[in-house]
Amino acid sequence: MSSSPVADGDGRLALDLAPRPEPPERVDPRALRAWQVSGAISAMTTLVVALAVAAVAWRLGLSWPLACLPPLLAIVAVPFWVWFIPRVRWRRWRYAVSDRDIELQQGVLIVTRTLIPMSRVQHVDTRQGPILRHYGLASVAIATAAGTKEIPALAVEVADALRDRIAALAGVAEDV
Amino acid sequence: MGIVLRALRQLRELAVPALLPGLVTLLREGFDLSSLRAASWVLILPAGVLVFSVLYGILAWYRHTYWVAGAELRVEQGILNRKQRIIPIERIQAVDVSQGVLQRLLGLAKVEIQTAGGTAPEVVLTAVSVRAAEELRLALRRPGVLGPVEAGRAGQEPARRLSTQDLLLAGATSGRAGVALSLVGSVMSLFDEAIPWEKVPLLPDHLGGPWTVLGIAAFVIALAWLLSVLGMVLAHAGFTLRREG
Repeated sequence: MSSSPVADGDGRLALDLAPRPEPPERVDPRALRAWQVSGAISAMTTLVVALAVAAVAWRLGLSWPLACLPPLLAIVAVPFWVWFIPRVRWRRWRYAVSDRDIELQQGVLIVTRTLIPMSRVQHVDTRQGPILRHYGLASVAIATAAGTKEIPALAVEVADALRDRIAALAGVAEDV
Repeated sequence: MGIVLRALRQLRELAVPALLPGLVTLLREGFDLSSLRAASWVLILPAGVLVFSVLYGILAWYRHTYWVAGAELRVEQGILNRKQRIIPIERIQAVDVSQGVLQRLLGLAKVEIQTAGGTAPEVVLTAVSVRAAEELRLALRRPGVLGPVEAGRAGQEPARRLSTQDLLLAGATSGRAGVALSLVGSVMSLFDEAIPWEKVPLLPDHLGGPWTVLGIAAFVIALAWLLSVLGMVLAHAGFTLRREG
């Protein structure tokens, strides 16, 4: 924790505002592949839906260039879904867990940095769907009173250890 | 037992949508043998759903485990989407133990555990034995917040018990009559459509007069009010408040 409250000469609290470095830990490299697979699945689903919409629209007498629009848009979106977005997402995702807080950095277009004080953590989950399980990954979800934050796609052992550690730290952390 | 309850709950959720196509087919075709055969095809799907939900219930029950380890409650669940949850006991806000009719019949209890935030309980154990529920509740008691409760205390005289008179008064003034009113209204309108008024003989001509309308309105309101009292009595009968420690 780089910005900790310190008392100045008059006994008032002053914040040490040294810039906080980017959190060091990265998400597991296999996450990229897992995200690409799930991106491909949603891309395929969207494509099928778009084709169905086009077919119905064409049957209802829409001119064919207009009817072809939805599938074309879907095809244009595919590389973003399967290639580009997972890459940027992986490169951007960073986290750090210290004794006092949890720091997350995420976002593709809009970068969000989140700090969760340990004393505000309510409970911790690990979650694993079929895709993550295939790659030996699991995600860690941290619940606060205001909602849940998730660190996606860590190696199972890393996720389990992190979950246990956060739970233990949250159990002893007192309100400050 | 958890398996049965889970399967039953799923059945309750699925029964209407699953059986509806079959029933509709039956009603449309009339009740003879050939239509029954036609409907049976439509019923195969619900049967499949039934088998699936029972199997799913067994598997889900098998995967759903909880235990207290040190100062933490751990819960594991999920078949496809697996989830392991750790709640520091320090963070638990409430432990609710409740028994529905079915659970009471089977000697079971439902345990709900809540932490801060959110509306849904973080952990729901639909069917655990009453003893296991009590053990869990005691295990999750936060040390130092409440002193240990002596065994004799449980039988203590309640500090406050809701009397029948208060209960009726609360029902009469609960203001839930509005809800009951809409219920009565919808039931009446159902009847209105079902009764062939033009075929009923001896209907006097002045039936649509203002007094009839007022009379019916008064009747409906009184009925709704009675229903709301009844609802209140059913919901809160036997409410007691007890001080411990």
